[in-house]
Amino acid sequence: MSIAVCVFITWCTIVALALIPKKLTSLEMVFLFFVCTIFELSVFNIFNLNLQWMMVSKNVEKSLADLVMRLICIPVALLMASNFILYSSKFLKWGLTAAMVLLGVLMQKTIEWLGILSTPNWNIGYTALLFCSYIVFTGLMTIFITRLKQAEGQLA
Amino acid sequence: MIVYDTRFNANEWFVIVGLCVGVVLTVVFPKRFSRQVAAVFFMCGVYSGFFFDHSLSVEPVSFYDVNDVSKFQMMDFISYWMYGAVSYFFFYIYDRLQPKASYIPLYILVWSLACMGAEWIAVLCGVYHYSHGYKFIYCFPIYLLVQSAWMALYYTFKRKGFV
Repeated sequence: MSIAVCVFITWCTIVALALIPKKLTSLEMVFLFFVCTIFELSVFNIFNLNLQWMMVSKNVEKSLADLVMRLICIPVALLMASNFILYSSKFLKWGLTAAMVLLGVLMQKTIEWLGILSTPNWNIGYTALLFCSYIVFTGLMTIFITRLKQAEGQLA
Repeated sequence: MIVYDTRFNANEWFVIVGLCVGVVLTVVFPKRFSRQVAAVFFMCGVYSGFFFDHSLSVEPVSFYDVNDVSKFQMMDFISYWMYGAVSYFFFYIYDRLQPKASYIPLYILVWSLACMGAEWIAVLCGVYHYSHGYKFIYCFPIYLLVQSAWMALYYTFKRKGFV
């Protein structure tokens, strides 16, 4: 059950990414997918392995479902956020970015409800803060990779 | 938590030296790619390291631990950045040689064997600690798979005019 739900959520996220108007090239999106995954996995590992504030289930199906969320769903959602950040309309930019934080919180609640993740020393505020930090990092990396091209253009 | 070692010794030196040599070579070698493409090619290796280490070395069956303890340490994070130079030079040398398409499997095989050699030294230095029946040789198909994916990525970028 848990793996099916997680794969469905992940596929819906991929569908959403495919449908939204994109402001980044495929090269920039590949870079952002890589760095978002690295950042998200590192932060999650600190909370999971070191602090033990979030515990992943030892059941094989549930731990696989967690991997699907960590390795595909969340980075793809962050890729969507990085495109939203570049929208020219301020209403769309901030509205959609806030919606991504809300969706991240709902995603986390869903995986807790499915028994994939147990959070003994955690509350919903921390989850919101965690997703805000992911989006801030994504924003910074978006600026970095787009400026890299601009800087090269100026040098040429 | 499993503790393998508590001193600053061979595994830490392997990571630091490996990272420094890789970064220096990446910077010193003449440029072949735009900055964006070079950044993506470098991150390919770092991402692959994270991807496999965080899928194979996590519960319920953690097949291996990295460095001194089973927890996530700063040195673990740094060690993944060593793979960046590997992927960068994988693309760099391929782009420089421009071999025929029929030589791609051979190119990937040579790189996979070279990576196995580097991993063997890393195991001797105590960077990797295998468990639950996992063996060094199991990394070989993973390298072949990862580098085949890199090659697919290279040709995708080439088709789109980025390379």
